Amino acid sequence: MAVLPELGLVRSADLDEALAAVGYDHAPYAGGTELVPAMGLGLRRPVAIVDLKRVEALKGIEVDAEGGTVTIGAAVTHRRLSDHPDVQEHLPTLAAAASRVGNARVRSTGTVGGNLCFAEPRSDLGCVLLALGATAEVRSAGGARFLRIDELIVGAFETSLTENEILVSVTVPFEPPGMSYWKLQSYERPTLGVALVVTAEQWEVTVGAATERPTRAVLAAGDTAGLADFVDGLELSDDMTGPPDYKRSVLRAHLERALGTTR
Amino acid sequence: MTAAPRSDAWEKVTGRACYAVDAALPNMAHAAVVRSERAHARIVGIDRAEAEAAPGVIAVVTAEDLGDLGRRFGHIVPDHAILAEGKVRYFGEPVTVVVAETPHQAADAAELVWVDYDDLPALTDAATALASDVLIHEQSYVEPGQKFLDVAPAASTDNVAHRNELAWGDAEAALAAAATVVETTTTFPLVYGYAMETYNALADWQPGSLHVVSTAQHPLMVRRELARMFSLPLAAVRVEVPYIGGGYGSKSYTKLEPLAAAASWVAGRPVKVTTDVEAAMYTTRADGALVTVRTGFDSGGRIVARDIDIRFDTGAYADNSPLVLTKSINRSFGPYRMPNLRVRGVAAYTNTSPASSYRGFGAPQAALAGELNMDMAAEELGIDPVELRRRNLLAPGDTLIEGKRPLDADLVADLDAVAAALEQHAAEPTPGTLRGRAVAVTASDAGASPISTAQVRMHADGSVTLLVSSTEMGQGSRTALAQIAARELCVPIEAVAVGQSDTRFTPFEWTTGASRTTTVVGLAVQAACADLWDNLRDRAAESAGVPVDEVRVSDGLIHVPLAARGESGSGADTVSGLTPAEVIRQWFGADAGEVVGVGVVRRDGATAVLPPFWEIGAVGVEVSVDEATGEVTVEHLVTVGDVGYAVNPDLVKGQDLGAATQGLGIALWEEMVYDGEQLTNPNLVEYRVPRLRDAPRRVTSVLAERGDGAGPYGATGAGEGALNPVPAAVAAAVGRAVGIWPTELPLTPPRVWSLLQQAQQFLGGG
Ligand SMILES: Cc1cc2nc3c(=O)[nH]c(=O)nc-3n(C[C@H](O)[C@H](O)[C@H](O)COP(=O)(O)OP(=O)(O)OC[C@H]3O[C@@H](n4cnc5c(N)ncnc54)[C@H](O)[C@@H]3O)c2cc1C
Repeated sequence: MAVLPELGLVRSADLDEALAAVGYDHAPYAGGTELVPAMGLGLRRPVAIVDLKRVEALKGIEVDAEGGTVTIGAAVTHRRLSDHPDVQEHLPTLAAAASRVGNARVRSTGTVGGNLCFAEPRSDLGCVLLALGATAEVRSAGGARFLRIDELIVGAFETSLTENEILVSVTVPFEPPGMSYWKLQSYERPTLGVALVVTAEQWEVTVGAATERPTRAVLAAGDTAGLADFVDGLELSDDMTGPPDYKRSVLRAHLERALGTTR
Repeated sequence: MTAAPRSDAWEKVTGRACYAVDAALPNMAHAAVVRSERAHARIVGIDRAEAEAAPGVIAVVTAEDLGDLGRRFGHIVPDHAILAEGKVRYFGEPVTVVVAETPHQAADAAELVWVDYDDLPALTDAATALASDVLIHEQSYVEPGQKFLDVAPAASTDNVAHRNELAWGDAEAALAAAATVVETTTTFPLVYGYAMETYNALADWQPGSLHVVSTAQHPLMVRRELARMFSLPLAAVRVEVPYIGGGYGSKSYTKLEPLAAAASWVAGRPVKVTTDVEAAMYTTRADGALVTVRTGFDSGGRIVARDIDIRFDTGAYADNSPLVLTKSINRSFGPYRMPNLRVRGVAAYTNTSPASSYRGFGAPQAALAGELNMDMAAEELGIDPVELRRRNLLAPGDTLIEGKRPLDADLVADLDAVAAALEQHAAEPTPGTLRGRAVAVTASDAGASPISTAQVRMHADGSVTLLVSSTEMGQGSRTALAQIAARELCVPIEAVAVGQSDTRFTPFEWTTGASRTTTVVGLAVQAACADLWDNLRDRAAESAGVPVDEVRVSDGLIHVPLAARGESGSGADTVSGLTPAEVIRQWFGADAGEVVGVGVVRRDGATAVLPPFWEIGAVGVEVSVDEATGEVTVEHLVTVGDVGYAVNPDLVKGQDLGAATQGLGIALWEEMVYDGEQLTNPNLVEYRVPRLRDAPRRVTSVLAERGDGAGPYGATGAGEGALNPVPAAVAAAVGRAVGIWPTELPLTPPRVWSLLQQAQQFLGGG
């Protein structure tokens, strides 16, 4: 659609103002890379949008060296995330994933919060953040809640946020050794994403993009049967990027390569 | 010639270039188009009361408001309703247009128009449509044997939009007697001619005149149709075309202009209609095609016959598809010696977005099957595919089609250049990947009708304004034509200004398509320059008081005998060279005035025999295929631009690379996917055009300049040639890599993966 309907814009200076403004027909908005097209298609019809881009409290990237975590504000863009030295140092896989999101325009305007809160299955960040064991801080005027990523993202395009809540930040433990993220991205969005944390004892496998929401399995190292069960049991999407059989085959091939197993 | 920089670079890079979407007129209103939400349905009623009452609304226009206007357009088959009348034939068809003071008001009010439909069976593919008793059009214009431009409609009996054939010899008998017969069937997808600018039109109807600014590639063709629809003389219809943000054939002939003009006629205001990508995809696309090629070879690998069937999915309206089908037939059997031939083509109406011209004009569709067939034959005959082509390619001067221009290119030399470049950079596959290489060659009867007019106006300082109605849509034609004028008139290119096409001021042009501009318009520019020199000579003789035949023109100067100019003494062979500017100022007796030259091209002289030239496509690709994901990487692309003479080598290479890249898009990614009645991917996120990352790892772009064309300095055209063989070459290369010949494009990762699966089963099974 060429013309967006007329709508109001609330430009809040701080988080409290933003929290007071959001509601069932007042949608939070950050980069707009998802919201604007959705409004163009008539899928979202808010009366007003509440701009989070200028809220300082949502834009920080802070390291807690003692706790071993990085806290990333919801309005941080993919570009800032990938370029930030602290993120590169402590969360190199996340930084690399952010640097390969979509295209330059999406990276320089799209945000971490927008990515998670839109809950588009074909996303990278949800998968990587779930694998990293990140915690989301969600706030309303009434207070804060802390959620795991799989408590935040509950389905395709579905989160556990209420209309009055804003995602403030995600707190991410420093990346463990043995972590990797690989994706197949033949189209604009990822077709399949696989985050692995491999140690001598354990295989942690998180699959995203092709599943309704990021899905994680923790297996004993070498448990190829368990791995096969996990892969076979995944419900994979059927869309223009390929049928489930295709995605499962690509997933298997990647896991075989990455884990050094063979069929 | 020279590497002249593009004359439009500054404007375009700084964002100051004007496009139709930028056009505005005083008192202009804005339109929003209400489009059909059914693929095939009767319109039971349209309730527009609510929309009419909405803020800012000036008019809500439906077919019944169009009074005595010509309701239908279509330069070949007048089957295309301005606004759906009685029924809709495709999802996305314009049904109502809302005119309001602002684009927002128009868009808001458009949501308040309620259209009541009574569904009819939707025939969304060609096979279904051809087998069905349900008729998409009540009237038929198909009458084989008659020239389709003059056909009167009869009652339809089927969903055939057009049929045509081409035959000589006895293909059936020759195939029966052939040592080897190889058959190939391919499916060419529905593709969208993605351009950065979509379709846009601004129209201002006033009593006795119509002014349109639009994205039309062929302003004079649009003028003719509008004049007929609005019962106006040609001179009363003014079609202006500023820069176009990409055409690729998709903007040829009439598109949005009647809608904007009819809305202006009803609303009494200038009306602007714009489209987004979704609406553009529902305005025009390329013909999808199912093509079967059967080729018979003798024991030496020489072709004895080809039998070809082409079935187009032409969509809801014919638009230019009858001509595309005819051209596809002409381009289907390859530039090969062909003792016996039969080609049959049918274009089927379907309840989908209407198809029309698209870069290559039927050639890519046909070449996919024809050239893949050569690779399959090479395998079956045990002959190298390059060698098999060499044995069969026509030689310069040979006849492709009786009565047409003999071949004006050296195809074997072009093919050898492609093969050598591919060979030079051939590489081994890396672990986990497979590799394949292939070449493909095409020849197209290009240039369209050789009808063109150019005007050069030389000013009192010797600088020049060149007027043509050829449209600049990114190809750089204004630069190339200015180069020709500059060379002919011996002035620097900076001294030549080229205006936009505007039918009120610029002279007649047939079309901007069929890769014709440099060749055909270039000849008109040359002729106009020659006429200008004649006129300058006449003026100089008149000023000097000498007979014209004593005045000579050379090296950009007009040489007038000195004696005759009153400077007595020396002999008659003493002359003085005057610059054109001096001649002009002398004749007018002031630092003022101008001298004009007009040049015309018609079916005469260099362009007496059609086509004006054969456009060659000669390409090669090397691909690698990821065995796990089915992703195809183009490792090397080779193009040979056989253009006779490159007026501007950079522009030719730009055309070749652009065309080939568009071909890679079709080969690997692009496809309009219908799921039921509507497109599932009417946007650029899911309709995937090639991106920078998809660019071939290596590109070798060769220019073949043998001076063998009919155009200026021996030039022929570029623009479509490098697209035509690319889909076929990629299909063959992927086929060679995976071990199974593909039958369907695009070769998306899942499709290639399934070919890999088939290949594995095949190996495992036997
Ligand atoms: C062409 C394209 C390619 C893409 N490719 C990729 C890719 O490769 N990988 C990938 O992971 N993603 C991809 N994306 C998605 C991209 O990551 C997201 O579009 C982007 O990060 C969303 O952020 P935004 O700020 O633009 O969100 P917006 O559009 O501003 O908002 C999205 C939604 O989230 C809500 N919202 C935003 N912020 C908050 C908040 N703090 N609290 C509560 N609700 C909030 C909004 O109300 C809205 O519903 C792609 C998108 C496009 C358009």
